[in-house]
Amino acid sequence: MAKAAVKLADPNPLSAQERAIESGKKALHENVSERILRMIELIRNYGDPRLTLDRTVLFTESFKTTEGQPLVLRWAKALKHIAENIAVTIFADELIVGRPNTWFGRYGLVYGELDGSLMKEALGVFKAVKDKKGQGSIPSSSVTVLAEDGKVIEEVLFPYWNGRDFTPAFIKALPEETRHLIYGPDPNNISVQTGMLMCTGAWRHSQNWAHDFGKILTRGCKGIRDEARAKLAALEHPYDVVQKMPFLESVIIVCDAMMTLAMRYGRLAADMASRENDQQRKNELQEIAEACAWVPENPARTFREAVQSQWFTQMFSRLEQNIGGQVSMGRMDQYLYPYYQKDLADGRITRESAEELLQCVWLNMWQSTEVKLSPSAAASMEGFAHFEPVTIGGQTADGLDATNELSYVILESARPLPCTYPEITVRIYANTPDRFLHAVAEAVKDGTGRPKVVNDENIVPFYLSNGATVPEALDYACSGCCESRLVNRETQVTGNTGTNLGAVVEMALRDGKSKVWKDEQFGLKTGDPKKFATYEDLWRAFCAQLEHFTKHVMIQQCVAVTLKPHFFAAPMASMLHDLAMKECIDLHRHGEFIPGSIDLPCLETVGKGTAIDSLAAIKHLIYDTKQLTWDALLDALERNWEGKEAIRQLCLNAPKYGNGIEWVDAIGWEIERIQLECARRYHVRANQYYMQRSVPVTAHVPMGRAVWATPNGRPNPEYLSEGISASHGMDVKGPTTALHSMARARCGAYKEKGADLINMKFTPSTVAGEDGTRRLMQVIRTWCELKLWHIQFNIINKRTLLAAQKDPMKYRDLIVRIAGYSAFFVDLSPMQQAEIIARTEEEMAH
Amino acid sequence: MSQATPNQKGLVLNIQHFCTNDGPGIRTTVFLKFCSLRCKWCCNPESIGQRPELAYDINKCIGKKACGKCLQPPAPEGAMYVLDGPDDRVHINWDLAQGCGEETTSVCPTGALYLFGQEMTVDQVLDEVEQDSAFYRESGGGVTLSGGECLLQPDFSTALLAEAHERGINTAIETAGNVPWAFMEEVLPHVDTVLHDHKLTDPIRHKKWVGADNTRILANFKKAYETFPDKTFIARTPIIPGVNDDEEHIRSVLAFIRPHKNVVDYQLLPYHRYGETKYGFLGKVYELEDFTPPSSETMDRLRAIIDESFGRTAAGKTG
Ligand code: SF4
Ligand code: SF4
Repeated sequence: MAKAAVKLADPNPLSAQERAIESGKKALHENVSERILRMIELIRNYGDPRLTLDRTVLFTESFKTTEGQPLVLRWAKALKHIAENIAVTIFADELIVGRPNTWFGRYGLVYGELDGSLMKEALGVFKAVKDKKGQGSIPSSSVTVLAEDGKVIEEVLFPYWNGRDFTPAFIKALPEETRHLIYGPDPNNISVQTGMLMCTGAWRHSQNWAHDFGKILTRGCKGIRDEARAKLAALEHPYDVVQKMPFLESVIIVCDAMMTLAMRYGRLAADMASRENDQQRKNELQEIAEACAWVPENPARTFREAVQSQWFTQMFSRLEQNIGGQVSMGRMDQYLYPYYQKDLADGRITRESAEELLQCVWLNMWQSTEVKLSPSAAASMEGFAHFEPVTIGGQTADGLDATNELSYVILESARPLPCTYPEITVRIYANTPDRFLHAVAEAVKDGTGRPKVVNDENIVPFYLSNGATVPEALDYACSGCCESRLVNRETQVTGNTGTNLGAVVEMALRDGKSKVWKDEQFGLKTGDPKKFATYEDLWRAFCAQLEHFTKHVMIQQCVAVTLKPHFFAAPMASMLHDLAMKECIDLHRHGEFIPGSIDLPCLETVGKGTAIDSLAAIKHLIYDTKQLTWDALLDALERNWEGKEAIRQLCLNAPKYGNGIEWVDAIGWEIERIQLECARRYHVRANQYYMQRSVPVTAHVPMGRAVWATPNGRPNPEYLSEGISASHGMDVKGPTTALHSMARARCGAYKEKGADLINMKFTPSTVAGEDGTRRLMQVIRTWCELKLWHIQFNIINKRTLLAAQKDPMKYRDLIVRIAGYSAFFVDLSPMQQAEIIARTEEEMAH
Repeated sequence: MSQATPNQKGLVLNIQHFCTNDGPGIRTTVFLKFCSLRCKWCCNPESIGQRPELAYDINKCIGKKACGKCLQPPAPEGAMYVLDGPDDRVHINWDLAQGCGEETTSVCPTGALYLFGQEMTVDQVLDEVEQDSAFYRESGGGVTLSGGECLLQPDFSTALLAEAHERGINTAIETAGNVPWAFMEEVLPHVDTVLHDHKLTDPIRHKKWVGADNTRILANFKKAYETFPDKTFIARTPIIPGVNDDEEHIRSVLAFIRPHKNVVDYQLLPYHRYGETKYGFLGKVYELEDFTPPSSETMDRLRAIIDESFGRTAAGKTG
């Protein structure tokens, strides 16, 4: 009787986002003021982000005068110089002020000391992208560089930093074999990576990071400065004087610098207020002036001051350094809650005014764009990836439910915004209140990919087994894309390196040579597969290649960690960290192992599904059912399947990961085990393990270009599978089975098994109505029970994506979920757009 | 009580996960082959026959030049052929292809040729079903047997449902009820929720549209309500405009079920045309192309009658 039918009035309903675009509305929901709408319009109309160079120009000026001094001190002095001289501007409608640029719109900071050597080359790349956009092709991550900015780069920044910056030094310091694997045959190449590994250490000062913002709010810069002064006065041991004095002096200088900059904003606001005729704006400016005169110098007294202080701190963090994906916000609903509660009780704010203040911060964050100078970096983080997760919900350090009214306010404040910010991240655990989960599911249904969800039931035990106390583990914050941080115990601030598992497969099949790189020998010589008598022989070759790659990941990590203290310092980030402050050591020296720290470097992996499916196809077709010979398969691969469609079809129809097939899923578990075991074999310090994770951001797209055809039926240059998801469209048994497979293919037997990224796409019809909301809640609850790490949803109709490709202007506000972040669909390259469209669309069975 | 027999085999069409309209919660629906009715709107034509059936999706065929594997034995001569012209994709002579089975379809690398229906043991089915158990726990879901007519494989269904209970899985069936009472009597003890169809009221029209009259069906249902007072029954009607979208039908079903406390709901399902392409895969013609899905107004109007009868407010009942 079958499936007589589905219970659906409208077979193809739209998500809130799609409805807003189709009806030309400016916001997805009503809880947004005219002020916020005006600001959104201005930001969108400003168009592409423009480079902002003031920070680096001032940083450079200062650095020229401090050569030879301890690095951390030079950094602090440079920040002070910036704070004293950078232009301060306040724009109409702004309530929360402070910016590193001088216009209202998206901007991108660049950092000479990081990769100044690439600046000139990058100018050319930016121009080329821009020109292509002008010709009416589909726009992609395009950046505005004004002629005057180009001149500053060519005449001031590049000449100073070329050869003095981190990137080329890092590359030079790599052992040749490692350098060759990452940067290829040309010894002078410093910008484009081979795609065998994705080495992010050269693209950023720090890996994803969340500050302990609560410290600034409760103690103020003054309180931290006092602590540094007291410590300084107590220094006695000659060794300490040498080692710790510069750090403590830097902390004092940085505190002063933050206060100075805030004061300048305060004075500007007061000045503008005195000349303002509109009474309402006058009052607003006066309030801004008062807030900036008080914070971040002093502890915040009100919600408004707390929010302003928080924003100043994160803005200052951007001036200090580039953190991968920018600054994570920590547990905002926890550290802001006391201020919210008090102000609400005292009648100083309403829920609406609190929402508006938060929305002002979200718009500030939106404008800060992460522009990458290296083409490889840009391709790995398309659509101006920046993930600045705002963590809400979960449990408190006391083990109680952490959900409070502010959790809802934060969640709701984000929902109407047709922009990519903020990245709300919800911590879910077994007892998350249904009311909260319901609100989360409703927000997910808007279709902007927010919020994303992370799992206490996985992450808390992860930290416990890696050395955290129970209260510490319970207090983790989401950081970066879908990773997490203990803001006062973790210290790993060195960018990670990803292993291209698709390439590892190719190495095992081509005796260590890469076809895309014209037979360059990147891998080991593991022999001709035709001589592999059994699947075990192939597996051994694969493992050898994987261990080879893993070893080089660890080598480059060691180089980066050793070299960074000579190039980077982060006195502000360090002064907000309990252990760094206690030991008076800059976080960038974490490689020396800061006592008490949990320092987990990381093995990133890309293309897990591609690798599993490739190995499974070979096992099934060549060894188990003997439908295919090595000769035929290798020949078809070599031709990139051209003229070999029947063989490709066999491969495509072989058993695939994500469909609940035990032996196939088990390959995924084994791949992770091999990596983890390999890392354990070489690890240097007790209790400091390499964690294994799969958070590729958009790297699976460029890394796919580097891998020739793979036995899962994938042609070159198609993207690899993404996160820990199955290969695109290959998980045909629906979301329940896909999640089951993912849970089973996760090597949870190892305590250092870390973050995994899961994307799930539903059509709006699947989650329509109250029934649909419940369904989504049940899916999230089950995911929680399966102890997976993270999940996020795209709730969108395929036809909307196709329409957006045709009419980018109409759909310029269309937001899609990429990795741990959302981006405007039209900001993505055509290849990335195709990747999004190809992701499996989960429908409820009818 | 029959013993759970894990090796018992049945003819299974398909196992579908994440079903949300086949009983409470998130469910996995197991479709069994074989049906004793012939509903003109049937959207599962592949489920009707008693044996595995050849199916073919021409859109997946990559053609004679690239492949051509099915154009030679073991396929019977002439069963698969190619027309002259640039399009070298395979066509099927359905008469000659009658007896094609596994040995023919297994040569096809693309899955264009495949079989509807495969023998599976109780354990094979439940091992797959059980993978979703975390979802059942969270949603109050479980396994649903559907078809075809799942009661036409009574021993298999019994074994499967009993074993599902052994594994702690909630069970439901979907049945049209056109089977000997003995079959129902055998299976129902192992079923938690019985979803049963009332397609038409009038026996003559029932015979015209469904291929059999409904005397035995109604007798079975009535006896089932009475014999299994602790089971949950949910009556259902697929609404097909022009066939059974009249208030009279709804009211007469209500009159039939309302005296029985264990019939807890009456659900209406709008007809859809999803089955249409499958007729093509089987080389059959979709006879009545002019069925259209009901309007949402019709659905609302008819559902209001049911809500009233069950003493519910109409709001929130539409999907
Ligand atoms: S009872 Fe169900 S499977 Fe049988 S013919 Fe009717 S609709 Fe098709
Ligand atoms: S075997 Fe399949 S793909 Fe090949 S020609 Fe026949 S139907 Fe087409």
